[in-house]
Amino acid sequence: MTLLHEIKHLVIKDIRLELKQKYAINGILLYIVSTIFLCSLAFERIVMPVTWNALFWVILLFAAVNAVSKSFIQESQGRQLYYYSLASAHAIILAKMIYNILMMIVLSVLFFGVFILFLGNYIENQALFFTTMLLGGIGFAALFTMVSAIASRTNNNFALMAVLGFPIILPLLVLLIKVSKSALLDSGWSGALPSLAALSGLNIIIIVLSGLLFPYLWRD
Amino acid sequence: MEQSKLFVVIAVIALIFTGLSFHLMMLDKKIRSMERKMKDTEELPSLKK
Amino acid sequence: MDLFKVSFWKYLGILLILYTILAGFLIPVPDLPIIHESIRNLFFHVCMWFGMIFMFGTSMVYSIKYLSGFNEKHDIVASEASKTGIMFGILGLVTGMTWAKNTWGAYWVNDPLLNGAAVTMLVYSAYMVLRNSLDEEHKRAKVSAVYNIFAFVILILFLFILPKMADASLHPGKGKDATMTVKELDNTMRLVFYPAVVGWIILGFWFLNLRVRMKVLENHINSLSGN
Repeated sequence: MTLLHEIKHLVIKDIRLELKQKYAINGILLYIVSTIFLCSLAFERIVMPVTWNALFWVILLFAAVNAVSKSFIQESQGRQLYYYSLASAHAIILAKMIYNILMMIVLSVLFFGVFILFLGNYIENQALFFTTMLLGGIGFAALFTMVSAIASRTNNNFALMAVLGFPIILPLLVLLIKVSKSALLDSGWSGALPSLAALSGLNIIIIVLSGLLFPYLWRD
Repeated sequence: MEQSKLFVVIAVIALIFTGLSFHLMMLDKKIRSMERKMKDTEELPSLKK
Repeated sequence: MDLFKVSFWKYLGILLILYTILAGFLIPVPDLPIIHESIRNLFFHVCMWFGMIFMFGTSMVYSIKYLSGFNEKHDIVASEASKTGIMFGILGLVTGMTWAKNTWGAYWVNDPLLNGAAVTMLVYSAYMVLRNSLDEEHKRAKVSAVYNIFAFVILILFLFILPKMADASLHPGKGKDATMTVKELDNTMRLVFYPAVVGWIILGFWFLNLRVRMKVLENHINSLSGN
């Protein structure tokens, strides 16, 4: 009960902080819009749905790295120490993850809208693509939260964020591209179900594993 | 002719591997002797006490 | 590490690999289309991946051990095991690429197993970069152990679940429409393949054993000259 209580308060704290500063969300939104606009200028017209798909996931991936990397890195050591004295390690990592997942869901929905606006809609099965995108957003948020916790322990943490994160995000990305490709090319659900199950499973494993391992990261 | 060429190649590969394993065995032996020395130096301070 | 002091298993490893080299090139093999005689590379190429997975598995086990006891030696084993694993991975890539060039016509193709190999190499290179970027010993040991466990679990899922879901693979025995599996492997080939796997794994553990002992000695000498 206390864990849930702590998580609730930490998430609310993060959301309040964000609403007050509006720094991260606005920065990422600007990043997304300008990248998509750049792509629409560079590509002029996208011919293949596969290219559209690849572009979608690459931009979303980089947006996720930018959005999530600040979660542990930007807070000062002193403030982190303060949180640790107030809440348990599990509460801290789970609260950060929940906050980042919420943020990624909001971001990816906005991203989806802007992307379709500029680059056109090639999707056959809208619902399947949307589900995949949400699962992808959750996975990106959870994995990069943990990676940012690891990277925050080193000195040159922003460079390490990509070095450590990209190799282990690849399994998730391969699955995402596979499912979303099927959503682009045909309207059926049956073929994508095993992959969707695998995606959800992978997300759960990432979250559980982070919860188990995080306590070792901050205990000095 | 083809057959004997094959045998020569296999023999060379086997020889290279034997050489490698011989090198590993020597390394193993050297490390063991150094480990023994390390134990001796570790025991010295404890004798002083 | 007391187990490693027994030395008969090292001789067993040498004998098994010598047997692999001699028998592997000399036994009759089934003449399959495209691969023909190059099927003998199975005794070397596939064993490298077995060796690599065993080394990375050992690395992860010792990372868990480190986190549960904070024994410095466990950290040394974890890092040296991943270095040995990287060595096996490079050998696996080299044997695989030459094989691919001669059968599929290119050094690198888009295949689930090749992607898996590339990701594995990237993950452990990242692990090494992480280790190098941390100076303080305890912090380095702890943070890299966390990354090692985290990455290994995700990697195992990638290596063993994704290739099964892939539509097709150029590798025999993988993908949905598998053409050949280990179960269908020729009986005489199995007589060489299984000992070969065991032999290479033993050699891997010997490398690991030597590297760990060298590292312990090195640390000891450094601490002596430091005082």
